[in-house]
Amino acid sequence: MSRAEHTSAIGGLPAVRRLIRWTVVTPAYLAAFSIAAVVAVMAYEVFCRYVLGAPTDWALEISTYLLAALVCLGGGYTLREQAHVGMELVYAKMPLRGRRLAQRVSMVCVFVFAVILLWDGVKEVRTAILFNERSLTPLAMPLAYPLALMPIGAFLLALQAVELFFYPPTEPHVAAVEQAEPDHALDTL
Amino acid sequence: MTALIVLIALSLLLIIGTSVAFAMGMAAVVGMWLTGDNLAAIPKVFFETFSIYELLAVPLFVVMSQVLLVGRVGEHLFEVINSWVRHWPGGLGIATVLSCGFFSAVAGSSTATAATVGATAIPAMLRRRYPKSFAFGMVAGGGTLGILIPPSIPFILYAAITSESVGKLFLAGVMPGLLIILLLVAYIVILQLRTGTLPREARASMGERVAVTSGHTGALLLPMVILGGIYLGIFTPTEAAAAGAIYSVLLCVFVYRSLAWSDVVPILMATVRVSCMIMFIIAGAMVLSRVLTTLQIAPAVIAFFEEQHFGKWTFLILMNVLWLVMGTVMEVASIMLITLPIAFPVAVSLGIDPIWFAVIMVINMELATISPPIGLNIFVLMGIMNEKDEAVVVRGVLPPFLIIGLGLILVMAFPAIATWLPSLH
Repeated sequence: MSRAEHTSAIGGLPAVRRLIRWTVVTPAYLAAFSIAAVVAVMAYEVFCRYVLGAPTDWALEISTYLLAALVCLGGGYTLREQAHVGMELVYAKMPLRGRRLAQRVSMVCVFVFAVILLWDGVKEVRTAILFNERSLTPLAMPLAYPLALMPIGAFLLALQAVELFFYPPTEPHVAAVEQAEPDHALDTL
Repeated sequence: MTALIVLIALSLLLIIGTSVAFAMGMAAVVGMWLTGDNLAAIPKVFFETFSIYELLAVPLFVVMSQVLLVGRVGEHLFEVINSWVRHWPGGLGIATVLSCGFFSAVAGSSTATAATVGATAIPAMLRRRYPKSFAFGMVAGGGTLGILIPPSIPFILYAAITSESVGKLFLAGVMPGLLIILLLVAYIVILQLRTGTLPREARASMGERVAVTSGHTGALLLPMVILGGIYLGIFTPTEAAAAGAIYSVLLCVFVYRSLAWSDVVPILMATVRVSCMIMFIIAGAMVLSRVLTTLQIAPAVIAFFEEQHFGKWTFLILMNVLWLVMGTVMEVASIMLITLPIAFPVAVSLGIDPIWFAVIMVINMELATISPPIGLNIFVLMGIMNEKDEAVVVRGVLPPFLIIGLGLILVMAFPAIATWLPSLH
């Protein structure tokens, strides 16, 4: 069970929240896949450079797009799992109502920020399509594709922020880690 | 005035527990709005940050540490190192510190190092009746070496922000890392010789040592693949991270048979979480530092230092105090990315060597990961060992904390410890 569902929902989730979960978590699997893809691309690049003696002219570019995909598609899921770290000294000591309020203020911030990313991100994609912008590399990638990752990621963030606004998890992150999911304890440096 | 409002917004959001990335982002939005900057810059900065080649190494090093942790490679390394040193005074403790050091040459983070070594070393020490606080403390403290000894994710972040070379920064961490290992080992030996409280172990025969060591050559070669690959010029640091990840998977699948298909998704999802967390903080810091540039904060601080005739030592000591305080309540990536956009230009203007500055900062970050109340290594170890008594762990962390602090003082007094190796490169 994901962190977002811990405190507020016992039993089945309402359909809306199931839909949000599906919408936010599915892209995270694509993000996970892009990690594997980066490893594969790099391995191929090294293979070409040393074994075939001819480095590729696309591996570097593609791997940076994959990094962007990883971060954009995984951002909402990371928020869902409360893995975007914050300072919890004061938060953890607040009474339950204070924590709920603090969570809601935070989620409003995330939402506003995500909307800015979404709004201006869409404009960038539109410009890229309009002027048929391409990367200045042999690959000549139409930039609209990678640029589209940003508003998609922003949408996922905004959506997750809305859910967490209405169903704020109240456990401080560190306490949640200790009690529920020790594997999440490693979500840091 | 605007600067003050931005600072207040940032502090307020941080205090109520807003994620560092979004606290910085929102503070930046406030600043950009007040200075009439175009908000359209934000997604641009985000996207540019998300496609920095050097930062690709972050998810790759994370995935490698996850594989090694799940594949329980730490167990075997501890066994090898233990067979060589266990008869020394405080032998298991020394084996723990050396295992942390060895693992640091593979992993780029403190928590991964502490968790990987701790999962084996702590039960081994407790079985032999080592004091619980000592066992937890040594792993928590030794684990912090993960970010000082290369590869190191904080050095990669520093490189991404300041455009220093990752290769040089990695080299700069080597000697300070060895120094701290030496100090920790010396502490254990002296502790044992003076108090004699730690149980003694029988010496392993040479035959046993050779048998154990040769049985795990594959794991022992891992740092060679990564660091050798980088410094022989075979790989870029990013490619070395990918190579290390592949090597680790092969090692766990074919040699140790400790990795199953069912482990793949959890490993990758954990990597997604850590990578997104770090990348969002960097992007937030990049946006905020754009505002700070517009507001001319760094030049103002530099001018202030000149006016007051504050030299580099005043600045360094101030930074150390600031990092120490922040370290008690925040984690590494946040502290680095909140302070660097201002601290780095000031440091450079005061004539501080950027490589030396990086090492001083990272040793401070080691302290941050073990300083209570929010010392992440402490929580990680309590989590994996299912230990509830925080006071015992915190008590055990004090000696390594002081020893790493001593290492910090030595590196500050003798910059060559950090700068000599990279100057050869």
